[in-house]
Amino acid sequence: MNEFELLRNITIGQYLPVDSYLHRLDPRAKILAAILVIAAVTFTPSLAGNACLLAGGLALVWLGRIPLAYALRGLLPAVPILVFLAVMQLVFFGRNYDPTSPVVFQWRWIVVTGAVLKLVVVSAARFLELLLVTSVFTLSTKTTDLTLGIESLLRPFQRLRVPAHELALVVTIAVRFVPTLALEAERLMKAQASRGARLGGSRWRFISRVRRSLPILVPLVTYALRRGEELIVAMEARAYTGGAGRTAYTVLASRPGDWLAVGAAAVFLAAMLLAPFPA
Amino acid sequence: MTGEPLIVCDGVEYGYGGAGDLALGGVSLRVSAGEHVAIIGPNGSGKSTLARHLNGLLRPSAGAVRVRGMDTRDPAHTRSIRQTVGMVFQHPDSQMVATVVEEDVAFGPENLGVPRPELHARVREALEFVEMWDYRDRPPHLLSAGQKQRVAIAAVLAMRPACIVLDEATSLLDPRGRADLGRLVAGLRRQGTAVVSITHLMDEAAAADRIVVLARGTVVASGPPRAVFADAGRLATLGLDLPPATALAFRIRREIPDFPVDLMSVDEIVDAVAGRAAS
Repeated sequence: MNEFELLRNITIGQYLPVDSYLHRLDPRAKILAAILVIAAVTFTPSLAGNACLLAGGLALVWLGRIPLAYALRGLLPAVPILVFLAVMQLVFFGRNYDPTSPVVFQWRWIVVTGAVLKLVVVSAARFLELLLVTSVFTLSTKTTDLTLGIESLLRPFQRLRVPAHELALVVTIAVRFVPTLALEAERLMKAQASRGARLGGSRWRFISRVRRSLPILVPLVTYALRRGEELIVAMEARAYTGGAGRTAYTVLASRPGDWLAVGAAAVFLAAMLLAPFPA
Repeated sequence: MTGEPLIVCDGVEYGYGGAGDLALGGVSLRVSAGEHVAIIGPNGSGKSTLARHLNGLLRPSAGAVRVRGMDTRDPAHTRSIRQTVGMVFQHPDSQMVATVVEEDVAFGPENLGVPRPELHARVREALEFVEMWDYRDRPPHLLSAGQKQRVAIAAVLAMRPACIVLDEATSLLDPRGRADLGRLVAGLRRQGTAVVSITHLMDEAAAADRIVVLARGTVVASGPPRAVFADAGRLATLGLDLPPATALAFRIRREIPDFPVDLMSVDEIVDAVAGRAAS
């Protein structure tokens, strides 16, 4: 009954409790460093650059002392999307993308040029790098640390009317309700299946999968709305009146060493931007 | 302080919109400090609506509710009313805000602006009271329903309320969870905290100092459990049960006309029967 076990397959926001440099890092420093690394991924279009980034991502996995197999398993759900993306690029770009590039393969109207091949490889690599960085981030950061970090980083912008506390609370509640909703979805799927509904099916048949998930989605949304309404009442009952006048149970304390990570990430970004990679 | 009881409801009326259709039609009720009041009544009798008036989640359209002399219609008092009267709801999943148990317990006192060293002391004390301190760093979705409700009680206790309202807090629990909660309520009473429990379970109501029977938005009976349960005919017309022991006493009376019926536990039945056998 593997297809019903949603909770086990959700890796977003899952924390892997091991002790590593990345786990001990102040969340504020970690968020900033992650943003810098993601910027490096975004601004590197070359093959050689992406090879460096992929190596960097694997280095982060090692630095977080996350078992490699575990980190790679988190990438599995993205494989169909990657394949879909590659097929679309191969079939439809043709000569429109960089007409000067030599044709490598031609069958009727499908034309694949060298530039498109390179594009396919680079975009797949970027996708994997992004996933690797974000999953290392979530695997090494507790959600409470994440929200505290967000709140603390946004606090300077409160003067510009950025609702730092409220945003952090929204993130906390969203994360808090992921497993609750997953369990409810599991219950709905079992209820539908016990009455003869056919769920799941092959991972590759997107449309039939989407159509089959509708009878789950509708009750799930109503469930979420009902729980949300109850949560509002419960929060009000506990004297919640917004961010003003609240105190905080946990307060972040960073060591100077934590900011070294931000520095390292900044240097990495600068190196990726300035390095003379062949185009 | 005045000599007034902790909570005073004076002719409370409330309607959910429909003209002439009142959910509460003039309810008067007093809850003294340290008292345990059970509110019973059939579905739709206005129990939960009344409960939500006790800490200002709902405000009466006519009549008044005063908590320690503070009128719930005055927004200036909202925070201290919510601090004085805490509330535990039916659904364990929709009253937890944070992603970790101890953060959730801290949510209430954080809202009250309790300074940090005291915050930690309060969270620890509350979690130890409900015997959940060992679970303080668990995410809520890994707890059982009974454990979640205990955490919900701790979350209210950390606000140091004078009264706790349990709005059908045991109705989704298994017998063991119910027994645990029953013991907690007894412990609260020893501490001098007043408890108002809204319940469908007559065994639970029998443990109270006083039972208030609600039907169609009005109080139809009120008094000590023995007196209320002795009027079995009236409860039956409202569709309410008796505690099992009282029901048994009534059945014995059918055979032995002068058998006492104001009995609420198996031990009392045994004593009564033994007394008869001896005489």
